[in-house]
Amino acid sequence: MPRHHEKQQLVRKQNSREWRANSRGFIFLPQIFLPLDSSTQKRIMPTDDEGVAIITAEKSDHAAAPSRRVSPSRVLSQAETSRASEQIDRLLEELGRAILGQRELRELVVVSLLARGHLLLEGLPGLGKTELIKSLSKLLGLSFRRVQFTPDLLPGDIIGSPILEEIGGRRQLVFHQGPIFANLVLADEINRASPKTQSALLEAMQERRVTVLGETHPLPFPFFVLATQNPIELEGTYPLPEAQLDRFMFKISVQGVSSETLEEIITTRRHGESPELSQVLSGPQLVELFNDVDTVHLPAAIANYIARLVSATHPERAESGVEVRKFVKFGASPRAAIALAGTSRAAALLRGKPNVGFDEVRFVARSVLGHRLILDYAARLEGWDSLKIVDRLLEVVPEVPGNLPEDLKV
Amino acid sequence: MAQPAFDRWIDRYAARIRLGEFLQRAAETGAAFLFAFGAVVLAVKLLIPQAWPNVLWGSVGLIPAWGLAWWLARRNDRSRGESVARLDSALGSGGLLMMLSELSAAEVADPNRGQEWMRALPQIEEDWKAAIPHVRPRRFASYLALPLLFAVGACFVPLREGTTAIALRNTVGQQAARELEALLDSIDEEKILEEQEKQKLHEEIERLAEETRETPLTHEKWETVDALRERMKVRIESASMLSSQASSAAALLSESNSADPAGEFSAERIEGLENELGEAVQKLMQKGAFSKAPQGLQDQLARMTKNGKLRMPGEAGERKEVLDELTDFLEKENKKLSDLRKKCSACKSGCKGGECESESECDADGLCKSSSASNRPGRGGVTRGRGDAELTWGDEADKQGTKFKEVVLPKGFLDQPKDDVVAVQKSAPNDEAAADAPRSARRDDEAAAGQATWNRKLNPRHRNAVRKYFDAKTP
Repeated sequence: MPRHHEKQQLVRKQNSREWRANSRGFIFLPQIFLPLDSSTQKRIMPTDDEGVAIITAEKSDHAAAPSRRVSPSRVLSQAETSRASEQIDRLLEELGRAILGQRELRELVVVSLLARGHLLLEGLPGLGKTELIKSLSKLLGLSFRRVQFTPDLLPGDIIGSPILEEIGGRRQLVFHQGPIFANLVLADEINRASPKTQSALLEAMQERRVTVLGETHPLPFPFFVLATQNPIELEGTYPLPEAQLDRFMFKISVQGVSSETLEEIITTRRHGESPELSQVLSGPQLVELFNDVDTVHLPAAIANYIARLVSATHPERAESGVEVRKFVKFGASPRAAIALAGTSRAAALLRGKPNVGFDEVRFVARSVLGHRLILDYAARLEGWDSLKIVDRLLEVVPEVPGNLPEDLKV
Repeated sequence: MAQPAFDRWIDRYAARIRLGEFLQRAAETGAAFLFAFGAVVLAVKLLIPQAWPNVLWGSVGLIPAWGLAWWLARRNDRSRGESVARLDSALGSGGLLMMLSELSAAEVADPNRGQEWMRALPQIEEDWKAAIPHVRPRRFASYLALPLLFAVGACFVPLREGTTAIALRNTVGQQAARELEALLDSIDEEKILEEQEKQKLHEEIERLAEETRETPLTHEKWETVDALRERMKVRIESASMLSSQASSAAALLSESNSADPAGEFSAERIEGLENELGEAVQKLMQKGAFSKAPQGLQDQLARMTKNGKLRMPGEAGERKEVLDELTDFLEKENKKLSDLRKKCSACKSGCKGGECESESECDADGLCKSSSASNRPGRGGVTRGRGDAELTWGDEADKQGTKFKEVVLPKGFLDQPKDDVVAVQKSAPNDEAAADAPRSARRDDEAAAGQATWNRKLNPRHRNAVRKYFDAKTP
């Protein structure tokens, strides 16, 4: 089948090119933006004597998502902002039906989603971390896979592996996609897997593609890794390496709920089952929201504030405070500044604003910077954690550099 | 295209910040200038008072100082973006103003976007006014208050008065020479000194005055001054003594003339008094002391001392009259000499011994009235410590005066070298170590644990083996 082989090669090249463009955030790939079904997710790997085989993928409504180039100077109109805000509110409201209380947690999760970042939830068992993510996938109508991380989990169990199959009388290695080929991947208790398996997620999270036997497979769009980890029972766990932690846009600490919320849970739920949720956002709507987030204006003063905030996390910088110099070993990376800007944009849209303000930066700063600071042992001895350091930074780094002259009174 | 309305407020905010910055700099430069100006005024008033009114022109220097402040404020001008960010925060518009200020004019004018969002900004002018910072120059005032007070206070400090009199060099020496000259003149008036001596003293005083005019007054010159003064004082005292001697003799002779000759005064006594009076009168006449006496007395005295010996008039009435007249004159002279002695500065400086601090403490003889004054420290004499410290005398100690008892100390260790024979006995000496000794050799072979192993005495022959065992370098 030489003609067929050429055709498939062409298709693959096109996919690869389009994905590269997509990763820059300009063009979205209709072929890959799919809710994947495990029964149809098959890609044929090339063999020694045969070229590339057929790519089979089911199309969905999301394939009709419009691709739009975002002009950096464009400003959202009030109508656009209201529409986006309404959609997000509806999403939050529906999410609130599944997860009672914890408004801030829901908002942060949605902000992370809108900023197209990966999310790490940390909290004790039974606080609704998994339920939150499952509910989110239902509301967005995205494909969802849950991987329970255990010490004996292998990279192939997540990414997939080539299997020798007989097709048309010929034996070929066929790549069977792993659970990572989904829009929403829930990596439950991620710190229980070995570093080898954890690192399998690195390329997937950053490049949104996986490579098996030299063959690169793009992941569906949107692709989110939503991981959870348990801060207790740390025996036999492998703490996430800093490089991987840095790839999580948000790390949110899930706290317990109030007694009122608990009362509401036990009175409204039977056997803890959450209510039936229906999809509130379609694929095109989600894409449009992503575009709107990109269109949110980031004023120069805010960008400067973000830059100073991230720079102040480095102990060797002049603007870092006493606590940072004393307790922080390594500060946040430039990726943190990018994440801070992106999530601030999403937070602004969530609040129905066409631009980012200082409040939005402060709203997301703890979740973005908290897990990116590597503290010294002295910090632990003196009872300082990274969130406390971030709070201190928010206090000491002024929104606008310099002070008003003392003879002026606001 | 019309300028957006918010631009006006941003410009106003920026101008207000600029003003605040200027006030900050102006306070600093103004304070420095006023301190410097006050210091200059003070220096001029105290050191060069002639330049006082001109220094006030220096106050004009405040203008360039504030010009410098303006330049510094302009150099550190804040960016417009900062003004926008601050105004945005003050308005609470959540970054909307920042966004609109960064949009192009066309985008701002877009009715569906820029204009729409502009309507979301505060529409009431009062809100904008409230967001602009007000000038409250409290720092400015607090910075300038003290320097201004200092500068104004310096202007009110009175001018130092300049002396027009020529300052004489060696004033003390000149003064001493003048005093000696005056004293010499006074003595000369009383005809105490002979002409030759007077001339000599005069020359010496002139030489002293000449020397002290150019060279400093050294202790040698002070000694010269003291010596001259002492010589004149001696002359005054000898003249006074001579005069009082003559006066006394004349008075006694006058008394003897009126009394019964067989009574108190014998013929020898009267002759002695006459000789005494004669010698004194002749000496006084040689010095010219009677030049101021009445002419009759002078003639009488000239007749009486014609042959170099005093011959009293034979007639008793005349004799008494001459003696009374002579006594009166001599007493007057005595009084003058006494006054002259008081004029001598050397006679005024405390007591003769110099023990009293002031003249009021001296008696008529020039001695200290109170005996305690002799105990003052630094005045010489026998003292038992500082004169103003009270000495209390109590009982003496019991052991006072007890003789020291000698105690013989035991011999030192060096007096008993170890190789001395301590004793000679028949049996072998006991060389077992004491049982309670912590590092005794007798415990070496016993099992030990814990701290006891540290205390164990290790024989020197085993040390090498232990060292080798723990030495990591050797295989």
